[in-house]
Amino acid sequence: MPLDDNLALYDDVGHLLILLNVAAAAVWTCCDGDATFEEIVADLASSHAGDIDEITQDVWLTVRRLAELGLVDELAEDTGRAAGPA
Amino acid sequence: MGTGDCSWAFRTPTLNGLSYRFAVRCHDVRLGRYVQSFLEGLQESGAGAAAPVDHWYSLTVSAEGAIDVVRDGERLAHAQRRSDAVEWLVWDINRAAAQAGRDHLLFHAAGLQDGDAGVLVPGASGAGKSTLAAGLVRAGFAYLSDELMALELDRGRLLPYAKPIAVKPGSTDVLRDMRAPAIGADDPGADEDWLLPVGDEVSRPVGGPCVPQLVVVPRFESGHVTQLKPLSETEAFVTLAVNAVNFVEHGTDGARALGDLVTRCECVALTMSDLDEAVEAVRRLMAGVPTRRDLSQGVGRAG
Repeated sequence: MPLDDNLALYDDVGHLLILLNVAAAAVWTCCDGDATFEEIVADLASSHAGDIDEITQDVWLTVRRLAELGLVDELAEDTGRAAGPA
Repeated sequence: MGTGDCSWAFRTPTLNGLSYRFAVRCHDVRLGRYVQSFLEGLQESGAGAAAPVDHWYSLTVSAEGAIDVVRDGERLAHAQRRSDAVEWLVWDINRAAAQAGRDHLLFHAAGLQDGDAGVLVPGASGAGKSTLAAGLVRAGFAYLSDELMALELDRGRLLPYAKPIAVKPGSTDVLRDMRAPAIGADDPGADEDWLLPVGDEVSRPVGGPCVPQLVVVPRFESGHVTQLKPLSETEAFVTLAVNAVNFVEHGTDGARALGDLVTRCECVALTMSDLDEAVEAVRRLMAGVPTRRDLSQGVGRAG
């Protein structure tokens, strides 16, 4: 659920309450199972000012962290697609 | 009347703590009335008054004057003073009410009611919930609880659990006018915790189910200027989640209810050292009087 510019997620399986800041929430929202990693970076870069390399690294780190938390499936490297919500 | 009631000289009416229905009985009428005076706020009204009692607390006084506190045949405590017996009773009732109320989202929080609107005061022990609750009751707010609040998940209402207010020794001075005179060694001393009765009998009315409008997160800090600071939805959400007793049990539904609560309510942090100033700050918030200037600057002077 949205809280200010943040997003609160509750994982019923792991009983985790996760608060995503605005940047992480934007990345999570893009992880719909269809968009590739490059498409996610391009989408965010178009709406957020910043160096493209930094955005790429931030998105990568965020997706990895979301995967560790079980909020998204692991990046499907063979298809280059960021799998959707877990 | 329950089994064996004819042998007891005194019993309370049916009492209710978040659907935990119980009554207290004893052979000593004076003791019974003393105990009942503290539990007045939990008295059932209307149809509930005739509801069957699910649990019995029995108090028996030995020849030496000690009091055995027994619940449904199980001894809970052997108290030397009547005030200790009441403390043991309240402790067990708290435990049982928290268990009985688990269908709701429960908080370590005080609750008050002003008109139709509720005020939720979450916080850990020592934050000042009970003292602030007592001060607001003195100022005319209706009392819901000082320690355990239930939030209905479906209707978003606060439900009262009107146990006696537990006051710590540090707050005795500011609440002295609300305390009945101690009678000898049977009542708590000046350096002990004590219980403040609530209910119509002592003109401290108990409120009813109400939708919260204000969340106040108190923090007592000696000598600090009374200060209100707006909380973001995120800050309020995290504070309430931390103070939720059974958040995990309610999972997504609980998180959703919390989210609805913080988006609907005005949420503030209250740093206080002067109870009267703190009460006035809350009272003005409920009246919709203060401006952002009041919220960003101290609303009073400490000392």
